Amino acid sequence: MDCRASRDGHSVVVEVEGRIDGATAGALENSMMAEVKETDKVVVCDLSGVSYVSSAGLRAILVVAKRLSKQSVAFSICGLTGPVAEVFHISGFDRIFQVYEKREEALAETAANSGRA
Amino acid sequence: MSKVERLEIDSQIENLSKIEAWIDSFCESHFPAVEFRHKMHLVVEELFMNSVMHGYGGVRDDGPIWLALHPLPEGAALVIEDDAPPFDVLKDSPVPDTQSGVEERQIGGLGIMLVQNMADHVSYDYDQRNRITTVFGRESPLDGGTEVDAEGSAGAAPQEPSPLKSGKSRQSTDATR
Repeated sequence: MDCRASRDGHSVVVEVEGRIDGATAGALENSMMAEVKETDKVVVCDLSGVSYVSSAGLRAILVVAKRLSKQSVAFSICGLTGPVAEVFHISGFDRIFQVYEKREEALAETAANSGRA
Repeated sequence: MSKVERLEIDSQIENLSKIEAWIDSFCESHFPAVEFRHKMHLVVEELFMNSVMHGYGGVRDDGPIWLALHPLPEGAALVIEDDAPPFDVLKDSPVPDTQSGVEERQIGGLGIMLVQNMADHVSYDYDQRNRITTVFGRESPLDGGTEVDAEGSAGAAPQEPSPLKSGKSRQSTDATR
Protein backbone atom coordinates (compact mmCIF):
# COMPACT_ATOMS: atom_id res chain seq x y z
CA MET A 1 0.00 0.00 0.00
CA ASP A 2 1.30 3.41 -0.98
CA CYS A 3 -0.23 6.78 -0.31
CA ARG A 4 0.69 10.21 -1.69
CA ALA A 5 -0.98 13.58 -1.62
CA SER A 6 -1.17 16.47 -4.06
CA ARG A 7 -2.41 19.82 -2.91
CA ASP A 8 -4.07 22.71 -4.70
CA GLY A 9 -4.97 25.56 -2.39
CA HIS A 10 -7.21 24.18 0.34
CA SER A 11 -7.94 20.97 -1.57
CA VAL A 12 -5.98 17.75 -1.19
CA VAL A 13 -6.13 14.63 -3.30
CA VAL A 14 -4.82 11.55 -1.52
CA GLU A 15 -3.95 8.89 -4.05
CA VAL A 16 -3.78 5.34 -2.68
CA GLU A 17 -2.17 2.40 -4.47
CA GLY A 18 -2.04 -1.32 -3.79
CA ARG A 19 -3.93 -3.41 -1.24
CA ILE A 20 -5.83 -2.00 1.72
CA ASP A 21 -6.05 -5.00 4.03
CA GLY A 22 -5.78 -5.78 7.72
CA ALA A 23 -2.01 -5.43 7.58
CA THR A 24 -1.95 -2.04 5.79
CA ALA A 25 -5.16 -0.30 6.92
CA GLY A 26 -3.55 1.26 10.00
CA ALA A 27 -0.78 2.79 7.90
CA LEU A 28 -3.34 4.20 5.47
CA GLU A 29 -5.27 5.82 8.30
CA ASN A 30 -2.10 7.45 9.67
CA SER A 31 -0.80 8.56 6.26
CA MET A 32 -4.11 10.10 5.27
CA MET A 33 -4.46 12.02 8.50
CA ALA A 34 -0.85 13.20 8.25
CA GLU A 35 -1.52 14.65 4.80
CA VAL A 36 -4.45 16.80 5.88
CA LYS A 37 -3.64 20.26 7.22
CA GLU A 38 -5.81 22.30 9.53
CA THR A 39 -6.57 24.79 6.77
CA ASP A 40 -7.78 22.16 4.30
CA LYS A 41 -11.40 22.36 3.20
CA VAL A 42 -11.65 19.50 0.68
CA VAL A 43 -10.17 16.00 0.74
CA VAL A 44 -10.61 13.61 -2.18
CA CYS A 45 -9.46 10.03 -1.75
CA ASP A 46 -8.51 8.59 -5.15
CA LEU A 47 -8.70 4.79 -5.03
CA SER A 48 -8.15 4.13 -8.75
CA GLY A 49 -4.82 2.45 -7.96
CA VAL A 50 -6.32 0.16 -5.32
CA SER A 51 -6.85 -3.45 -6.36
CA TYR A 52 -8.20 -4.83 -3.09
CA VAL A 53 -10.02 -3.58 -0.02
CA SER A 54 -11.31 -5.55 2.98
CA SER A 55 -13.48 -4.51 5.93
CA ALA A 56 -10.30 -3.37 7.72
CA GLY A 57 -9.68 -0.95 4.83
CA LEU A 58 -13.28 0.27 4.93
CA ARG A 59 -12.92 0.84 8.65
CA ALA A 60 -9.77 2.95 8.13
CA ILE A 61 -11.49 5.09 5.49
CA LEU A 62 -14.51 5.52 7.76
CA VAL A 63 -12.32 6.58 10.70
CA VAL A 64 -10.63 9.20 8.52
CA ALA A 65 -13.99 10.41 7.15
CA LYS A 66 -15.42 10.75 10.67
CA ARG A 67 -12.47 12.84 11.81
CA LEU A 68 -12.64 15.06 8.74
CA SER A 69 -16.36 15.49 9.23
CA LYS A 70 -15.71 16.73 12.80
CA GLN A 71 -13.22 19.23 11.36
CA SER A 72 -15.84 20.34 8.78
CA VAL A 73 -13.69 19.13 5.90
CA ALA A 74 -15.64 17.97 2.84
CA PHE A 75 -14.64 14.42 1.90
CA SER A 76 -15.25 12.36 -1.21
CA ILE A 77 -13.97 9.27 -2.96
CA CYS A 78 -13.21 8.60 -6.61
CA GLY A 79 -11.83 5.89 -8.86
CA LEU A 80 -13.55 2.76 -7.52
CA THR A 81 -12.98 -0.16 -9.88
CA GLY A 82 -13.86 -3.85 -10.12
CA PRO A 83 -13.69 -5.75 -6.84
CA VAL A 84 -13.15 -2.55 -4.81
CA ALA A 85 -16.37 -1.05 -6.20
CA GLU A 86 -18.15 -4.31 -5.39
CA VAL A 87 -17.00 -4.25 -1.74
CA PHE A 88 -18.07 -0.60 -1.42
CA HIS A 89 -21.46 -1.48 -2.85
CA ILE A 90 -22.11 -4.55 -0.67
CA SER A 91 -21.17 -2.64 2.48
CA GLY A 92 -23.23 0.42 1.57
CA PHE A 93 -20.09 2.58 1.59
CA ASP A 94 -20.93 3.89 -1.87
CA ARG A 95 -24.03 5.44 -0.33
CA ILE A 96 -22.58 7.12 2.78
CA PHE A 97 -19.77 8.84 0.89
CA GLN A 98 -19.89 11.10 -2.11
CA VAL A 99 -18.45 8.79 -4.75
CA TYR A 100 -17.33 10.02 -8.17
CA GLU A 101 -15.85 8.32 -11.17
CA LYS A 102 -13.19 10.89 -12.02
CA ARG A 103 -10.89 12.90 -9.81
CA GLU A 104 -11.63 16.23 -11.51
CA GLU A 105 -15.34 15.75 -11.01
CA ALA A 106 -14.80 14.78 -7.35
CA LEU A 107 -12.70 17.89 -6.71
CA ALA A 108 -15.15 20.26 -8.38
CA GLU A 109 -18.28 18.79 -6.78
CA THR A 110 -16.75 18.43 -3.33
CA ALA A 111 -15.47 22.00 -3.38
CA ALA A 112 -18.93 23.19 -4.42
CA ASN A 113 -20.56 21.20 -1.58
CA SER A 114 -17.99 22.55 0.84
CA GLY A 115 -18.85 26.11 -0.18
CA ARG A 116 -22.51 25.48 0.46
CA ALA A 117 -22.01 23.98 3.92
CA MET B 1 -8.85 -35.50 -7.11
CA SER B 2 -6.12 -33.19 -5.91
CA LYS B 3 -5.09 -33.23 -2.34
CA VAL B 4 -6.09 -30.93 0.48
CA GLU B 5 -3.69 -28.06 1.18
CA ARG B 6 -3.15 -27.17 4.83
CA LEU B 7 -1.56 -24.25 6.64
CA GLU B 8 -1.18 -23.81 10.40
CA ILE B 9 -0.31 -20.30 11.44
CA ASP B 10 -0.16 -18.11 14.57
CA SER B 11 -2.69 -15.36 15.24
CA GLN B 12 -0.54 -12.43 14.08
CA ILE B 13 -1.74 -9.85 11.58
CA GLU B 14 1.70 -9.98 9.95
CA ASN B 15 0.88 -13.53 8.82
CA LEU B 16 -1.81 -12.24 6.48
CA SER B 17 0.64 -11.98 3.57
CA LYS B 18 1.69 -15.63 4.04
CA ILE B 19 -1.95 -16.68 3.88
CA GLU B 20 -2.55 -14.62 0.73
CA ALA B 21 0.50 -16.23 -0.90
CA TRP B 22 -0.81 -19.66 0.10
CA ILE B 23 -4.18 -18.88 -1.53
CA ASP B 24 -2.45 -17.69 -4.70
CA SER B 25 -0.36 -20.82 -4.90
CA PHE B 26 -3.45 -23.01 -4.50
CA CYS B 27 -5.40 -21.03 -7.08
CA GLU B 28 -2.60 -21.20 -9.62
CA SER B 29 -2.52 -24.97 -9.51
CA HIS B 30 -6.18 -25.84 -8.93
CA PHE B 31 -8.47 -22.97 -9.55
CA PRO B 32 -7.37 -20.46 -12.14
CA ALA B 33 -10.54 -18.33 -12.38
CA VAL B 34 -9.47 -14.86 -11.27
CA GLU B 35 -12.99 -14.04 -10.09
CA PHE B 36 -12.79 -16.70 -7.40
CA ARG B 37 -9.29 -15.74 -6.36
CA HIS B 38 -10.38 -12.29 -5.26
CA LYS B 39 -13.31 -13.72 -3.35
CA MET B 40 -11.10 -16.24 -1.60
CA HIS B 41 -8.61 -13.53 -0.64
CA LEU B 42 -11.33 -11.44 0.89
CA VAL B 43 -12.99 -14.34 2.70
CA VAL B 44 -9.76 -15.73 4.14
CA GLU B 45 -8.67 -12.29 5.33
CA GLU B 46 -11.98 -11.51 7.01
CA LEU B 47 -12.09 -14.86 8.78
CA PHE B 48 -8.41 -14.76 9.78
CA MET B 49 -8.71 -11.19 11.10
CA ASN B 50 -11.84 -12.20 12.95
CA SER B 51 -9.91 -14.96 14.74
CA VAL B 52 -6.97 -12.68 15.51
CA MET B 53 -8.92 -9.63 16.65
CA HIS B 54 -12.00 -11.20 18.23
CA GLY B 55 -11.40 -14.91 18.78
CA TYR B 56 -7.98 -14.40 20.34
CA GLY B 57 -8.92 -10.88 21.41
CA GLY B 58 -6.14 -9.04 19.58
CA VAL B 59 -3.79 -9.80 22.49
CA ARG B 60 -2.63 -13.34 21.95
CA ASP B 61 -0.12 -13.60 19.10
CA ASP B 62 0.46 -17.35 19.30
CA GLY B 63 -3.12 -18.58 19.03
CA PRO B 64 -3.17 -21.40 16.50
CA ILE B 65 -5.22 -20.96 13.33
CA TRP B 66 -5.68 -23.93 11.03
CA LEU B 67 -6.50 -23.37 7.38
CA ALA B 68 -7.37 -25.96 4.77
CA LEU B 69 -8.24 -25.71 1.09
CA HIS B 70 -10.19 -28.61 -0.37
CA PRO B 71 -10.39 -28.83 -4.15
CA LEU B 72 -13.94 -29.64 -5.28
CA PRO B 73 -15.15 -30.72 -8.72
CA GLU B 74 -16.39 -27.21 -9.52
CA GLY B 75 -14.67 -24.99 -7.00
CA ALA B 76 -13.03 -25.21 -3.61
CA ALA B 77 -13.83 -25.23 0.08
CA LEU B 78 -11.88 -23.14 2.56
CA VAL B 79 -11.98 -24.26 6.18
CA ILE B 80 -10.62 -22.13 9.00
CA GLU B 81 -10.40 -23.27 12.62
CA ASP B 82 -9.20 -21.76 15.88
CA ASP B 83 -9.30 -22.82 19.51
CA ALA B 84 -10.56 -19.52 20.86
CA PRO B 85 -13.72 -19.66 23.04
CA PRO B 86 -16.74 -20.91 21.07
CA PHE B 87 -18.32 -18.14 19.04
CA ASP B 88 -20.76 -18.61 16.19
CA VAL B 89 -19.87 -15.81 13.79
CA LEU B 90 -22.99 -16.44 11.72
CA LYS B 91 -25.45 -16.19 14.62
CA ASP B 92 -23.71 -13.97 17.15
CA SER B 93 -21.93 -11.29 15.10
CA PRO B 94 -23.47 -7.83 15.26
CA VAL B 95 -25.88 -7.04 12.44
CA PRO B 96 -23.95 -4.73 10.13
CA ASP B 97 -25.05 -1.17 9.70
CA THR B 98 -25.20 -0.42 6.00
CA GLN B 99 -27.50 2.58 6.17
CA SER B 100 -26.30 5.23 8.64
CA GLY B 101 -24.35 8.29 7.60
CA VAL B 102 -20.67 8.91 8.27
CA GLU B 103 -21.13 10.19 11.83
CA GLU B 104 -23.25 7.34 13.16
CA ARG B 105 -21.94 4.50 11.07
CA GLN B 106 -20.69 1.47 13.01
CA ILE B 107 -18.61 -1.12 11.28
CA GLY B 108 -19.08 -4.28 13.36
CA GLY B 109 -20.26 -7.35 11.48
CA LEU B 110 -19.23 -6.00 8.10
CA GLY B 111 -16.46 -8.57 7.63
CA ILE B 112 -18.84 -11.50 8.11
CA MET B 113 -21.37 -9.88 5.78
CA LEU B 114 -18.68 -9.65 3.09
CA VAL B 115 -17.83 -13.32 3.68
CA GLN B 116 -21.48 -14.29 3.21
CA ASN B 117 -21.64 -12.29 0.00
CA MET B 118 -18.41 -13.59 -1.48
CA ALA B 119 -18.69 -17.29 -0.65
CA ASP B 120 -21.40 -19.47 -2.13
CA HIS B 121 -21.93 -21.27 1.15
CA VAL B 122 -20.85 -20.54 4.72
CA SER B 123 -21.33 -22.71 7.79
CA TYR B 124 -20.12 -22.73 11.37
CA ASP B 125 -19.71 -25.59 13.76
CA TYR B 126 -17.86 -26.22 17.00
CA ASP B 127 -16.13 -29.41 18.00
CA GLN B 128 -13.25 -28.48 20.29
CA ARG B 129 -12.40 -25.80 17.74
CA ASN B 130 -14.41 -23.05 16.09
CA ARG B 131 -14.70 -24.14 12.49
CA ILE B 132 -16.00 -22.06 9.59
CA THR B 133 -16.43 -23.78 6.25
CA THR B 134 -16.83 -21.68 3.12
CA VAL B 135 -17.49 -23.01 -0.37
CA PHE B 136 -16.68 -21.31 -3.66
CA GLY B 137 -18.30 -22.61 -6.80
CA ARG B 138 -21.44 -24.41 -7.76
CA GLU B 139 -21.87 -26.80 -4.87
CA SER B 140 -25.19 -25.56 -3.60
CA PRO B 141 -28.44 -26.19 -5.50
CA LEU B 142 -29.70 -22.94 -3.98
CA ASP B 143 -26.82 -20.95 -5.36
CA GLY B 144 -28.26 -18.47 -7.78
CA GLY B 145 -27.37 -14.83 -8.37
CA THR B 146 -23.98 -13.23 -8.06
CA GLU B 147 -24.91 -10.67 -5.46
CA VAL B 148 -27.10 -10.76 -2.39
CA ASP B 149 -27.47 -8.00 0.14
CA ALA B 150 -26.67 -8.30 3.83
CA GLU B 151 -28.34 -11.36 5.24
CA GLY B 152 -27.46 -14.91 4.35
CA SER B 153 -30.81 -16.57 4.77
CA ALA B 154 -30.92 -19.89 6.53
CA GLY B 155 -31.63 -22.73 4.18
CA ALA B 156 -30.97 -26.35 3.49
CA ALA B 157 -27.30 -27.16 3.72
CA PRO B 158 -25.66 -28.55 0.63
CA GLN B 159 -23.58 -31.63 0.86
CA GLU B 160 -20.80 -31.17 3.39
CA PRO B 161 -17.61 -30.34 1.47
CA SER B 162 -15.15 -32.97 2.62
CA PRO B 163 -14.80 -31.68 6.18
CA LEU B 164 -11.57 -32.03 8.09
CA LYS B 165 -13.15 -34.20 10.73
CA SER B 166 -16.42 -36.06 10.74
CA GLY B 167 -16.93 -35.91 14.52
CA LYS B 168 -20.21 -34.88 16.05
CA SER B 169 -20.77 -31.18 16.28
CA ARG B 170 -22.23 -29.71 19.43
CA GLN B 171 -23.69 -26.91 17.42
CA SER B 172 -23.87 -25.99 13.82
CA THR B 173 -25.38 -23.25 11.72
CA ASP B 174 -25.58 -22.77 8.01
CA ALA B 175 -26.08 -19.81 5.79
CA THR B 176 -26.75 -20.50 2.16
CA ARG B 177 -27.54 -18.01 -0.50
